[in-house]
Amino acid sequence: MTGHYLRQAARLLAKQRLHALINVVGLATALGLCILIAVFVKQEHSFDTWHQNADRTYRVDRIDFNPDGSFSSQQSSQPYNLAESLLRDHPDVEAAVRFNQSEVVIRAGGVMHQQNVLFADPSVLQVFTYVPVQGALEGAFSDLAGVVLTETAADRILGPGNVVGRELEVRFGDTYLPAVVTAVIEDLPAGTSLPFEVLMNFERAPLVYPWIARRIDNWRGSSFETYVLLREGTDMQAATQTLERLRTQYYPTLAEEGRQAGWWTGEGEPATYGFVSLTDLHLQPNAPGQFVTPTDPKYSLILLGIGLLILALAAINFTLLTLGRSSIRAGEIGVRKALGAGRRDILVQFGGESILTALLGFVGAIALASILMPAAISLTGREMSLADNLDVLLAVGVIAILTGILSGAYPSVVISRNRPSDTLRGRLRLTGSNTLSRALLLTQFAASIALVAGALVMQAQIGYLLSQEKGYDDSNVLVVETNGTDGFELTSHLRNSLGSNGAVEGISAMSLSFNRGYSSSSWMAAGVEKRAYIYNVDTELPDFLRMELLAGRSFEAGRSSDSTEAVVVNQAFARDWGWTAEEAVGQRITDYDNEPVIIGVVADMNFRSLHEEVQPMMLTLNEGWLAFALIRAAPGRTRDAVAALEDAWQSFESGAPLRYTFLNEDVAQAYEQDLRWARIMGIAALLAILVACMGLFGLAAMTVARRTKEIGVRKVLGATVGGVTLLVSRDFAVLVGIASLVGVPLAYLGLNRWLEGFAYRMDLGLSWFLGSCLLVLLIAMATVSIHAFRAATTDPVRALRYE
Amino acid sequence: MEEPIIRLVNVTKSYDHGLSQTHVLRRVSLDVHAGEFLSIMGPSGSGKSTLLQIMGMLDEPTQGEYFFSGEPVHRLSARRKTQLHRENIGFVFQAYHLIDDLTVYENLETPLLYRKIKSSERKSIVAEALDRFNMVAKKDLFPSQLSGGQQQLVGVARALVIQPKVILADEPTGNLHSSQGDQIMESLRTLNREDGVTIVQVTHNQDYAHIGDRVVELLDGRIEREYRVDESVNTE
Amino acid sequence: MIKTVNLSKTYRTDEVETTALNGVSIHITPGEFVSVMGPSGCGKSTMLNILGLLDSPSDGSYVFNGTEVATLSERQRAQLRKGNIGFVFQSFNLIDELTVYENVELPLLYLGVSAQERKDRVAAALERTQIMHRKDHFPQQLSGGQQQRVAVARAVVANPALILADEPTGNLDSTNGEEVMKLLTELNEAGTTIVMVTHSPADAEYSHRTIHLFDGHVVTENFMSKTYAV
Repeated sequence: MTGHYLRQAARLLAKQRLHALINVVGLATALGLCILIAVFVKQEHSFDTWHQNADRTYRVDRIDFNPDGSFSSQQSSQPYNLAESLLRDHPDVEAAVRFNQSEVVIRAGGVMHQQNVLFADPSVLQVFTYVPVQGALEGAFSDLAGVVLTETAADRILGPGNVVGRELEVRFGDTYLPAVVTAVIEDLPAGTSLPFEVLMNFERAPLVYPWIARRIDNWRGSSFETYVLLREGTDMQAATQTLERLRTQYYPTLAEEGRQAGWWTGEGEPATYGFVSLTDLHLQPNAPGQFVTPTDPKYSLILLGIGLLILALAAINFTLLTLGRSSIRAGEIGVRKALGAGRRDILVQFGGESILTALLGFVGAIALASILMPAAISLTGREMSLADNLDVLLAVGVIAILTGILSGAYPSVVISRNRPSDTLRGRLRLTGSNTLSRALLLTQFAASIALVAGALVMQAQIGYLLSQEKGYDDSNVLVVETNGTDGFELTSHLRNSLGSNGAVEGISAMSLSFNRGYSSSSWMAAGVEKRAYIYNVDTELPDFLRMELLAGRSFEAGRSSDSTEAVVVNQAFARDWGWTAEEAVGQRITDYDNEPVIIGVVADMNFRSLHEEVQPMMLTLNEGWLAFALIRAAPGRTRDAVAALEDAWQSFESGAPLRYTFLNEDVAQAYEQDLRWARIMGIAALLAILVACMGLFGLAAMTVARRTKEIGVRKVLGATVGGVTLLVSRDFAVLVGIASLVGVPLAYLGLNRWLEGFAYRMDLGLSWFLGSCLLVLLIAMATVSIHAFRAATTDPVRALRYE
Repeated sequence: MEEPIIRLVNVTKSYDHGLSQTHVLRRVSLDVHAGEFLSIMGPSGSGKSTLLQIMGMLDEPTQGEYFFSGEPVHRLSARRKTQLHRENIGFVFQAYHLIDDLTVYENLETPLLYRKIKSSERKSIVAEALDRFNMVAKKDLFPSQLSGGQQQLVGVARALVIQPKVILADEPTGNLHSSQGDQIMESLRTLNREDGVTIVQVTHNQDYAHIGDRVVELLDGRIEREYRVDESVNTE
Repeated sequence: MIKTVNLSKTYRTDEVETTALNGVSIHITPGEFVSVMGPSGCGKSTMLNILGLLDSPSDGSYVFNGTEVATLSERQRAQLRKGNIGFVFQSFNLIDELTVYENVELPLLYLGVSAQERKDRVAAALERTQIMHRKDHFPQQLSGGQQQRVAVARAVVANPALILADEPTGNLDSTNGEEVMKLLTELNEAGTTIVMVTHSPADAEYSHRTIHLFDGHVVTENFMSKTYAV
């Protein structure tokens, strides 16, 4: 019996290739998407859970309040002293770890490697779980020179084989210090908030960055993520209260300082400490850590929602299509009943066909997910693999079978319920399915229109932001990483070797490229304290970036006072203190250490993302802090400039890799998240339209099948091909019209809200929505007209012979 | 006299329209005895096909009683009806109603599948039927590859494979040319005479009707006339 | 009005060729009422479809109103059909979603008749077939006889010269069938040519002449003495 059904099902699939293809592809698309989303979401929610002590490990965050007591901000970096102080003073703290991350140069066998190093207190090996492959973790940091490598890093830096005991040289400042590999561990799982390849003792960090030493015993600075392992059975409420008390104890004068500076007018304390569970870190967007950008959990929800929505649409489409086909197979069902088939037999046959289709869809889904995995990885920026998620595949497989059963069940029940004498005459009662499918299509099109509008507007907004007047010229600018070498020396070297090169238009340097880290500090002027972003630059920079000088002057190479007490600020800075550009020039400001004078004001420039207003910013000359050299290539000669740069770099730092980016890429980096979401939205819109059109295709087929007689009669009475095509298409056009009435307001509200997150917004004109509606309408009409035209050209005699 | 295999008592079938009712059958009472060959005649719309479908348990009367071999069909559960129908009734349709996606062999096999007959036994039954109707060479063809007459032969063979007590044939020659029709009628007659199968056929054709033993003429859902064939030959 | 010479129609499916009509030659003059009879499968419906320009013959000649139509394209046939031929089917073939009035109005819409004229002509057709009182009902709400009267109204509303009826009483009981036949007779007396396929000798008696088809060809033609008596 099963063989009989399978044989017929296989023949049906082969014969109704298009129908089968639509069903299988529709399900495969939806299920494949579900697999990818499920893998992503599962990974997002299992970040850091693989640490054995994950449930008792916490990051200590500082939470700042507004004067009215409401939440203001949360900060993950803490003072140098916090870890050891908590270990000493907090009874529940079993161990504490400070982290700091740096790019350093490691030399092994004469080859230099630019390497990101995580510096951590030795207790890191006690608090976190790593799997040793070579050597032992115990005592790995008992020697200050101890280094722990992941397998990948060990292989890259030292090659294969046992590397424990091998020596490395790590550059600290100008000198190379010896280091010894004490252990190699397995590569960390993708779901980690504290990724690293090279782990070194925190005590060595001050050597790399001398400023760290200055922060010791200073409760005002905050540069180190601090993690604690709490004792088993700790009462979290009590532990948190103790922590809050300790905050006040360690830095009792914070409120008072705030009052004096004018930023704190509240009653209680302006800040407190709190514990953030290790396993929550990744979904805690309030306090981005230093190492991995956390994800807003609402993104997981949105993705899950999109996945389920598309799966639901595909499943119901599947139902509709099956139902549509069954009206054509009504005769067969009647015959089978006449031949002795019971209701169960019909249920089993049609249900079985559905399950078979669903399983084929599932196989397609796995193939699709494998094909799309690299795209998904680049889209989400997360390392994922199907092989690690067999449980997800299994779950989606079960969902596929359930989908098959559920989607097949409704048509099967409807079909098997019909009286054989009716089905024999080709009359099949498909009660209610028409209203249902119309409502469903309406939803699909509303969703499609909203998603299309969303995708279009999001793209357009990002384009709008990027096309905004930046206040500087970032074209053809190469940003060269100094890689731990001295920025000033590098810049001088580049000037010497490239200065006369026709491919290079200019050379400059700064402490941070745009969107590659920020530095800000508080400044006092005219009795008011405000924060401003700081960029340390060389004298060339304002000219080099072609900033527009509104008042005063730029830095001058000859003046020694410029390097000690001159700053150039932007217009926003002047505005913040209530000055015009002209008034700002000559003002003296202070951060308690230095007292520079504003010598010039440049036009506002977008050095951060345009989500927010242009922020106050100052440029100051500081040759000791230049971490990036900037080179502007002549238009069209970027390749020559890069080649010349490569040579110059090798003559400066032989053996070390040259690392550079383009400034406009760095600038666009600010919109990476937005772009990612615009892309995801675009894909969702595409899939929604695809699935909606499949449903439409099925419904149109059904409608035409149902109206075969009517169309035949109309043709006999004189209707033309065009007239019949119009007749069939019109209903669907109306449907899309109604859908637009639902979809457009939804999209408008959603996008308006999304745009509120930007200080600079494009004009949300009606044309975007009209365009989306037209696009969806066009696609829908193209889909329907296939059937409509076929119906319209059917021989009326054949249509009427169905009687 | 032995119990009739089909007994209809005051069977009525009507459809409700919004404002009116259409009576397709009005209080029809009819007995068919085992081994009989009954022909039902009457103009289009007189209720012939409906009557046949009620006999075949494909449709239910609005009112009235139906006994099949003494069992009250009108009171039986759907399951028991399916079973009764499976074991006893074979159908032949005007439009053949073969399943397009199945070969001749598979079409003949289908009724046996629903009766849970063992594979080896199925094989021999189907082989016998193919042989009987001279269709062995065509067993792997699909219905669309056969002429109408050949398709209807498959239809008759299919009705036969379950060795039914009753074959119900709804205008079996309706779509056929005369020579093909003659062949089908011949095969039905053989089934009746040699295998003792009870046959009820609906036909428009007077000659074909007279191949059977008895003729029932319907008009407007009522039995207008009923006569034995030998009698009618005598009277006319 | 209708003249066919050696009209043939064969259907091909995969490997099998079926001959539905085989060299049919008939002649029907304006104002005639002709019945076509014959057993099921003899080719009656195929002939009616060809006469009604719904189908084209495989071979032979068909002259309709002086035009050779056997070789016309589907589009040309459709054009010629409009307004010239009305159809009445066994299963009525009314459009379920339209009211009685709208069903009858349909051919006029396709002819591009003005709204006012449509109104008058639909009303006239409905009066003539005595179904005016049901004009706002849907087909499903009517009995078979009423539905067929609507179908006849639809067939005549465009004042066609020819009405083709395919077993018009096939789905009706004898009383309703008789009414429909009377209606057709009246139409014929008013000048409309009618060709009717039927199984019923009683219905055939309403016509002037009966053509008997068997296995795709004409076997006999007999004239109804009864009709000539009228």
